[in-house]
Amino acid sequence: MPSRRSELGRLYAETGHLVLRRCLQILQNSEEAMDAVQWTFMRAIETSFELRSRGEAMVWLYRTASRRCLWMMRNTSHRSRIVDRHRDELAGRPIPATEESLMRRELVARALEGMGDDAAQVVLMTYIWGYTNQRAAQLAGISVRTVGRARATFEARLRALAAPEEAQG
Amino acid sequence: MSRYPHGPGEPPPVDEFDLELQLAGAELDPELIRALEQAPHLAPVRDEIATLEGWWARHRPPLPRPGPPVWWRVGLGAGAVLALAAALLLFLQPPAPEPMFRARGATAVDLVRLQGSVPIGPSEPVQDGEQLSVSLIPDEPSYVSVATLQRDGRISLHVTSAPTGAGERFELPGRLLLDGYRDREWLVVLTLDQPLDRAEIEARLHELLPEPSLHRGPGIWTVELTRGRPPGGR
Repeated sequence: MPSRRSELGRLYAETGHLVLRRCLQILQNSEEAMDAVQWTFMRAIETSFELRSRGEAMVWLYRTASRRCLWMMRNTSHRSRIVDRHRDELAGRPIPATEESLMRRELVARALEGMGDDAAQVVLMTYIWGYTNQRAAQLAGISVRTVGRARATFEARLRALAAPEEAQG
Repeated sequence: MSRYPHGPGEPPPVDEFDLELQLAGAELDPELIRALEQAPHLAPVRDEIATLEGWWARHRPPLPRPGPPVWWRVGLGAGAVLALAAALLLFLQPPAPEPMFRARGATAVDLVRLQGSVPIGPSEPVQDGEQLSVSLIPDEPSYVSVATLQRDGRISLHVTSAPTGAGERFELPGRLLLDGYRDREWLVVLTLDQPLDRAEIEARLHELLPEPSLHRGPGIWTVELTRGRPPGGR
């Protein structure tokens, strides 16, 4: 019977690039993304989560990796830099009357400020990973309704922040 | 895995995560697998992942090794905290009274307030009624005499030619009690290589006036006992 570490080693070898891709999408920096992947698998080893199926393992890995990326964005004070990298993707999202404002990274950074982990995670999964509300809910382990509320909060924050800028423009 | 409703005969809608699950080796519904194969919008994603997979196969770092167990880390942290606390206690302890005055001749004399063992600096005022201790360790075998000399020439001889070995601690027996003298006054310690009697010592001390501090040197140690107002006094 294979040991847990060898099982995780196999999971790491076969799925690490998938996790890395997602981390790269958020962090847009290969070193930081690699750090996030390593941290994620380290957590897998430490927390001894059950490897019942690849599907569940992937959900756990993505959830953990996205939380780590979020933490890195918040903790390393380069969130605005990261958001700046994503402004095109964010600007492409259909948020009424705020597309132009979305180009301004400061607004997005401020909109993310103060949001809870779950809500911020939903923003990453939906706006950066392009997941639907249902998929984000599945990955984040929260309800679809909560995802909807988090997105609404984020978008409302963007609108509120954008309003004075638009008035000035 | 997809839970999206779709009409009969239609392939279920699939997204990137379905593709990722398939590529990760998850067990998927055959209908979903067929849908993935027929999903042109996922072709670029498939290519992107294939490229990354090739890179990963060649360059992935080894699986990270976990750190020490939590209980070990907690123990280590607690040990570090204890060590830090011990170090802080060591450094924050009041320093042992340092020799405050060193006469030429390298004899160190400790002049210490007895209450609280607080060292007194050379210019720090002392108060009437205050009690001081005097101690020293001569570098060479000496005869130690301790006296207070007042500006008007009056002398109080506290110890007369006490023989003290090299490196041996001499301590003034009892305490030096400061009276209410208002003029200038000095504490004088003689460490001489031969014993002197009372008269000889007094003669030597009178030679120090009017400014005993100028005569400080080998065998002679002096400090002026500057009087200050007692705390809360007028």
